[in-house]
Amino acid sequence: MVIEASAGEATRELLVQPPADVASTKEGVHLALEMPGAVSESISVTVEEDILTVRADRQGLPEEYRVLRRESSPGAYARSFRLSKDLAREGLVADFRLGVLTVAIPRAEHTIPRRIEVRTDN
Amino acid sequence: MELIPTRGWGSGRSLQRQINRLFDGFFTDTGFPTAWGREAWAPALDVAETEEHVTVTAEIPGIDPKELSVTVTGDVLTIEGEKRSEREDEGKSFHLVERTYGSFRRSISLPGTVDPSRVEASGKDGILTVRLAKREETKPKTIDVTVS
Repeated sequence: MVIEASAGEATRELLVQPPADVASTKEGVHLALEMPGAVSESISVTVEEDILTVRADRQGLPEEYRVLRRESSPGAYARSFRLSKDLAREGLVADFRLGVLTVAIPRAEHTIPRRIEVRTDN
Repeated sequence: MELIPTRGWGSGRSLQRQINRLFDGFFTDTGFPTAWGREAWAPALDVAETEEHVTVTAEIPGIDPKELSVTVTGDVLTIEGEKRSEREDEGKSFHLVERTYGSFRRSISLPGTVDPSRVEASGKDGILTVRLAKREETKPKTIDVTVS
């Protein structure tokens, strides 16, 4: 289970929290964040203790452009989530495609039922 | 399993969009009214210009730009498409659904300075960019002043 943590640092930088879908399957949790216009090389997905943080810079308009109308929210993307104990902190896979960042978080090893073989005298 | 996300700037997005539409001067948005359900979700549009071009950009995360319909009729640019969820929902239980889906259509009036026959559209990282060239006669020209 993934629980939302608050946005965290109060900086003067304008930040946008990307909308997220969070779903779980028996393999783990699947997170999808809408980050259109994110600079793909700047996307960072980090896990520190229980917190998963996603950040990315936004593509800006080149200098020579004059804005006539703006509906999109300006600002870099940032959002954090709290990972529950049953989720792994390693082995996460992140993919950025068509402006959507997906993060697959597997279940922690210790939560996966393991069958132990019984040795007998046969 | 209740999730109460704390939302900051991002949550005001659709309200901001509505306010922007109220203050429309130059551009008129001729999208379908909400009552019909077509405008349940529509991409945010930004418009910018240089001396040579006017660009309209739309945020279309999760949509393949090749599946969009971008048309210019007279002085109206229309962008139409559909956002579908990417994966099958087999065995998935959702804890949070903030992304919006569905078909959309947005139209925007173009300023008189553009030449509707010179349009290019391209998509990258969830942004559709429609670039319209300005008509020659509308581009700024410097006039030399002769002093006698």
